[in-house]
This record gives sequence, structure tokens and C-alpha cells, in this order.
Amino acid sequence: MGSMTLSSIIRRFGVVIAWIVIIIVFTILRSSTFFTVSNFTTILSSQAPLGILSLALLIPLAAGDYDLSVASVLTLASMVTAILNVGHGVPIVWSVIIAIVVGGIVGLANALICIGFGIDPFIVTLGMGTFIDGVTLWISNSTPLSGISSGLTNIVVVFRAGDLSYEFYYFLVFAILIWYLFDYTPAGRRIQVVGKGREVARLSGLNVKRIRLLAFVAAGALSAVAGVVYLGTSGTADPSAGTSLLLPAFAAVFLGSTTIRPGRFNPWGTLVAVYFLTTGITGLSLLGVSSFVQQLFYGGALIISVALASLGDRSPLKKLQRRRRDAVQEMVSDHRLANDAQGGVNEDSGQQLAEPD
Amino acid sequence: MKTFAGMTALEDFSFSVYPGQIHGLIGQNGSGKSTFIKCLAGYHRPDTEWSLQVGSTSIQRPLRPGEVTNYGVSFVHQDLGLLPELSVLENLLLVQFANDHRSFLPWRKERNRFRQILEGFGLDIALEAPVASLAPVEAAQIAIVRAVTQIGLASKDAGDAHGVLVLDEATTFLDQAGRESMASLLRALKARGFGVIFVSHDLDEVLAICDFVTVLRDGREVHSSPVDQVTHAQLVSLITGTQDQVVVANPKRRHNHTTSAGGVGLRVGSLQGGQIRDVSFETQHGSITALTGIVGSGWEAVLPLLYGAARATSGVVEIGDRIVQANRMTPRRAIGLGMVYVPASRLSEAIVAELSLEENVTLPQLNRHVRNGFLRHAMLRATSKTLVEQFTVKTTSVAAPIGALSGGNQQKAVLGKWFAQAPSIILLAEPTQGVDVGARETIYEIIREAADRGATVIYASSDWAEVEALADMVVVFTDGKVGAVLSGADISVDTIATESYRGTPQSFKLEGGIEGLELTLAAGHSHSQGGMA
Repeated sequence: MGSMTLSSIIRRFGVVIAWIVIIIVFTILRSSTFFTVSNFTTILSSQAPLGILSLALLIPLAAGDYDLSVASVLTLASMVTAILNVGHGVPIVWSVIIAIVVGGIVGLANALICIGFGIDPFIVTLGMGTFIDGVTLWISNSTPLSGISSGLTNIVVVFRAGDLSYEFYYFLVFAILIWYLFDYTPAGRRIQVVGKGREVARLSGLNVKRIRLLAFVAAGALSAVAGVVYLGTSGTADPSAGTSLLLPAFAAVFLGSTTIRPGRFNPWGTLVAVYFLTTGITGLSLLGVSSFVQQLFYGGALIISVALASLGDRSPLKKLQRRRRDAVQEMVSDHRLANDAQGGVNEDSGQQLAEPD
Repeated sequence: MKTFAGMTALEDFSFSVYPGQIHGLIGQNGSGKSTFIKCLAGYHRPDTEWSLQVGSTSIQRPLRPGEVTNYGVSFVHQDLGLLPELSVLENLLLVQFANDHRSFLPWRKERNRFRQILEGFGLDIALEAPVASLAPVEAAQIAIVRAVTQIGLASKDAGDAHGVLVLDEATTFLDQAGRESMASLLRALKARGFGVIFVSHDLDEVLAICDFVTVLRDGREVHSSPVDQVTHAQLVSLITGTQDQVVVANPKRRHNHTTSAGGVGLRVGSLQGGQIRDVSFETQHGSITALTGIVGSGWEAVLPLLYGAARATSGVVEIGDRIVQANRMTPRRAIGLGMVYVPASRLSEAIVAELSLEENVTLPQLNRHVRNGFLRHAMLRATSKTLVEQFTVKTTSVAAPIGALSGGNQQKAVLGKWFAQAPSIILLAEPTQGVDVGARETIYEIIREAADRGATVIYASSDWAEVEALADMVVVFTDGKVGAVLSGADISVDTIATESYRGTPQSFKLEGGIEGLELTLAAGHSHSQGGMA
């Protein structure tokens, strides 16, 4: 951080500034409908499921792993909750808990396959996401399910504090928790090292496998929470709910990594990015632009944010690309190494000895 | 002449190789061998004028990368440039693929063509086999055959092309049987009139295979003669240049307690893994032990095995009364035993360049900075500032990314990160690699102080002058095994060199010997000369 020059302020708060700018622009263009309390409370509250999903995605990304299954877990969790509660009369609390456990199990499965077999998470979670989508369609007979307990809708959207639905505060609480984890716990610092220098982490005695595994499990469970909040918001479990959320979540996390703590996947950047993106879309739709603008906006934002980030040399995406490239090179050179100096590379086999620190 | 950052890498050097001749080029790391190869390949531009003559073609200007291939000069480097998952045939055709504009590949025709070529060289390697399944020597031979066919492509005369083949340590990791097989391939090349530039660390191999040998030291040619006019011992002293040795500035702190005073700090028993075979040695508390030898002899591979960074196949590591099976060692377990390891490749293994200096150096002691469930940033800042001062790391801020620091400061920070853990066993791989002279002295001081406090330091290095200045005991590796153990007054660049180059007994000899040279001096039409003035 060091001294705060103007350019470093712009760099750190670029997305915040852009958010303010588009608010001003839309206010000028549509002051009567855009710049209203109800519009802002809608924007802040209604995007909580996307926000929580983005935070879920943030955790494995910080540890250097893609998770493309988060949106599918969201859908599955909302469907599981609805089926248990509506279809089988399970109390809503238990339905929610079971759904979150299911999400965690999906994360665990991702982790075990990626780490156990040493496969690129990009491929594993892509397959897992599609698999989970199939499961969701199967258990729901491909039809939406409504009639969820009012207990859930109450604590998600109906109850409000200061004009904002509770769901906004859930998003805020998870952002704070992840902020605490990343910035104020040794585990958070270790996640950063695992994400940006996996070999350094291993040689520093970190249990790389355990950290990656926990990141995947946390992502699964938190995606399920996002699914529950989604269900509470809409009141209906839709078997295709998550499909439209995966890309926005990626866009928010990558755009977020260019701001607040540029070069790092960080929760406050993600939060700002979620609201920057949804404000833009809300404003454009108020201007009467068709709904396809969502895709244009999210897709464009993902590419632009990644391009912006790669202009700076501390881009987290570059690191991920480098890791994927290194993995390929490692495979190539392994064959050679097998015959010469180094012997097989020894992944931390996770013996539970005293912590190094 | 080629200059790098104040050091002349090559000066006034001329080199000739004739058809049917194998010309060995030897010298220590940094002697200018690779600079010469890179100038020839066009990856370095000579700073001053030079000339290259290949056959009747004479070139006075610096070459573009890869351009020299057009004149019939082809390279095989230590990294053979083969794709292990592809078949032998596909690998052989790779170069052709890049320039091939045919829309259809006549596989059967190509297979037959290469089968004939391989048979012509007396090689029995299946063209369909993936390269990954080949023995190391077969892979090297395929790379050589590919380089030869490349020369053929360039001269548009595939059948009987003449040219120069540069083997840049392509044979470093071969076992005895492999060397013999390689020697017979080289013999076949000679017979066909190829000139070969043979770069190697293995003097026995050079003496057995080459017709002519040139020794480089500090960028200058110090010797050039037919191999039968020089002995193994003479080559060793020519390589090291014992008469004008550069001495490390600080006076030596030699431990007097040779075996008893310190007690055993670490004992390694029958360590095996990779190229390491049955390595045993023990080191004393408070002493500095150096592992060294020629490049590829195994000293580089020991520390990763001890620390569990690479997996050993068998052996034991004893620290005090704790005995650990080497194949069950992991970095976590090693740290738990009081070990720390500073790897040689700093950028990929020792630092996370994007993270701050503070985040890097405080990584092993994060848990000590937690109060009431919160990581205390002020405490971390204070700890890292203390470390930075103690280990004289020059930086504007501990919050700056560590990658922005100079190599020397990065290395001091890495030492600080680990030495602050008060380790009992310190493993250092090439700790002064890529480090400027000033920082080097500080690093020597840091290492000595740690030893004086009673830590056991094991130090892998290819810099023999440094080893002489720093080590209380030297383990010299040859061919993956402990070749010699030196201590006390026996430690000198001279003795290390003698032991390093002792190598394995020669069990093969190339037939023909020097006569190839005479033959080709007369023929002399393909003549490559790199003269740099």
C-alpha cells in the first residue's frame, strides 16, 4: 500500500468511482425512476443471492482453484430445500441445514477428485456442475416447485431493517466473515500463499491439500446458502435458476479483484463489483433497453475486468493461467525427471505433525 | 566478445570443427561455454565483431535466432526438446511440421524413411513408441537423429548431408551402458562426415569420445589440443585454473572441533532417490558441510530428498535420537524436526513474488501473531521490520512486493524467514546464486553465525571457491554417489576438483581416435569458425 498517490487511489477505488459515475449518469437520465429509495433498496437486497454466490466462488479462487460448479450447487440447494420442505413436510430449518450439507458434500467431491487425482479443477468442476444440474432436473422432474414455508421468505425478504431486506445483511455478514478470514487469520494468509505460490507453500510446510480441500468445501456450502437465500427471495425453486448466475459471479469476483485490494481476490472488491454491475443493468433496463443487455453487460464486464487486471502485473488471473501452463510443463518434464536427478515430486502427503508455527 | 553485467563472458575466442571430427568443449559453469553456444544459435549478440564460417559461407554479422540452422548447424541441448506424449516418429517430424505446407502427411512414407535412417545409425527404436517410454539414452539419440535430419532439410540433400552438430550437455544424465550406445551413434555420425561440437562436464566421456578438446576458463581459451596430448589430471587443473584462484574476501573460520566437540547433528544413511544411490554421511552440530561435485553428479538432488521436497525411495535421516525413513519425509515433517530449506530456484520455490515482503517472511510464524482471534498487523509489521534490519534487507517498505527487490535482498529475506525459526538443521541450495558480491558477504556471515550458534548447516553449491572458504567438511559427489569426503586442511578448490572429476572408471573407448581429424583436415570443406574479438 505505502503512500497514497492519486494513481494508487484511482487504482484501488476505480470500481467504486465507476459505480458513483454510473449512478450520476442514470440519475441525470432517469431521475424520477432511478434515483429513488425503493430502487436502491431493490438493488441492494435483490442481488444478495448473486453476492453470496460470488463470495463462495472467491474462496477457491483465492486458493488458486476454479470452481465452475457453484451456480449448479445453488440450484441444487434451493431445489433440495423446496422438495424437503414442500414435498416431504420437513421443517424449514432442517431442510435448509440438509441443503447446506449437500452443498458441502459437492465441494468435498470436487476437492477429492481434483486433489486426489491431481486433475485440473477447471475440468472437474465443469463436469461436476453439469452433473449436478442433471441431478437437480431429475429430483425436480424438471419443474419449478413453489409453496415454500413463509418462515424462509420472512427472514430473507419480508423482514426489513432500515428499509433493506434481511438478505442484504446476510451478504454483508458473509463479506465480513471472509474479510476476517483473509485478513485477520493465519489461515487466510496461508490461502493467499497457496493461491499465488503453491510450491512455496508446500516447501514452507503448509498443508496445501487440506487448505485447498477446505476452500472447495466452503465454496460448496456457501453456494448452498446462496441457493437458500435465492429460494427465500423468489419463493420458488427453479431447476434452471443458477444457469444465469455463474457468469455474473465470475464477472463480480474478477472485477472485484481489480479494486480495493488490487491484484487479490477480495470480499469488499467483490461486493462493490456486484453492485456496480447490477446498478448498471438496472439503470439500462430503466432506460428501456431490452433484457439482452444483461448478457452484454456481464460478459463485457468479465472480459474488460480481466483485461484491465492483466495490464497490471499483479493479476491473479495471470497467476492462474501460469499455474495451468506450469502444470502442463510439469507433466512434460516429469517424464524426463523420472529418469534423472529429482525423482518423483512428493506432494505434501499430509502427515499430521506439529504445525510449523 | 560478449559481456554480461560487468563480467566478460567470452573474449577473443576462436573455435573450429572439421567434418568427421568430434571436438570437446569443456569448462566450469560460467566459463563461457554456454555463451559461445548461444552466440552460435543466435540467442546472444556478440558485442563486438565476429565471424562465422560454415563450409564456403562466411558470415560477419550477428545471427538471428535459429538462422545458423540454414547453414547446416544443428543443436541438441540438455533439455532435448522432445514431447514425451508423442511418438518417436511424431517427434522426429516436429521440425518438419513447422515448415510443412503439405495438406496431407504421407505417414507410411515418412515411417519407412525414418526407419531406414534409424537403421542406418544402428539404432533399434520403435517409431510408434511414445518418447516417454524410451530409455534416457534413446531419447537423446532421437533428439540427435532429429537434429541430423534438420541439417539434411537445410541442405536439401537428405541422404548424405554434411554439417555441424552441437551437443550441448545432451549426454549429462546417461549411465554407463547409455554412454556406450551414445558413443556408437557418434561414431556413425563421424563416419558420415559430420562435425560434432561436444559440450560436457564428464571428462572421461570427453577423453573417450572426442578427437580434439578445448578448455574454456573465465571466457578465455586456456587449452586446445588433440585429446591424446592431454591427461585427465591436466584437464582438471586447466578447468579450475588453480594458479589464479579468486579468493572469497573474508578470512576462513575453520572449526577446530572436527568430530567430537559438536556431536552428530544429522546423519544420512543409505539415501536413494532419483539419481542418488546409497548416499551416507554425517555432519556435526555447529558445522558447515558442503555438498558439491560437477553438474549432474547428484549433489543438487540430496537436499530436496532430505527435506521431503522430492521423494526418496529409501534411506534414513537421523536427527538426534529421532530417526525418520527418508521416503516418508515431507516438508511439514522436516520443519517439525527443526529443519529449514532454502531452495535454489528462488522465484518458483522460495518466494511468492506478488505478495509483500512482510507476508513472505512472516509465513512460518503467523500463529504467534494472533491475539484474541485476530492476526495483529502491527505486530507482523514490527516482526518483519526487525527481520529486515537483522538480515540487512534493503527495501523501502516491508509492504512492497518481495518480487520488486534485488536478488540479493530477496535471498537475505528468505534466509531471515527461515533463520528466525531458530532451526537446528539448515539446508541451503546455492544460497548465493544470482546474488551480487556485497550481499554474498552478508549471506556468508549469516550462515557462519547460524553455525556458530550450533545449527547444522548443509550447503549444496557448485562454486568451489565458496565451498573452500565456507565449509568445515565437503562431500564430493560423483555419479550419484559420495565420491570423497574432505575435511580440515584437505579442503581446497584443487582437491575438490580432483575428486569431482575422478568420476567413474572408463569402460569404453571410441575406436578410430585421432585419425578422423587428419582425414578431415585434408577434406576440410565444411568448416565452422566462430571467432570473437
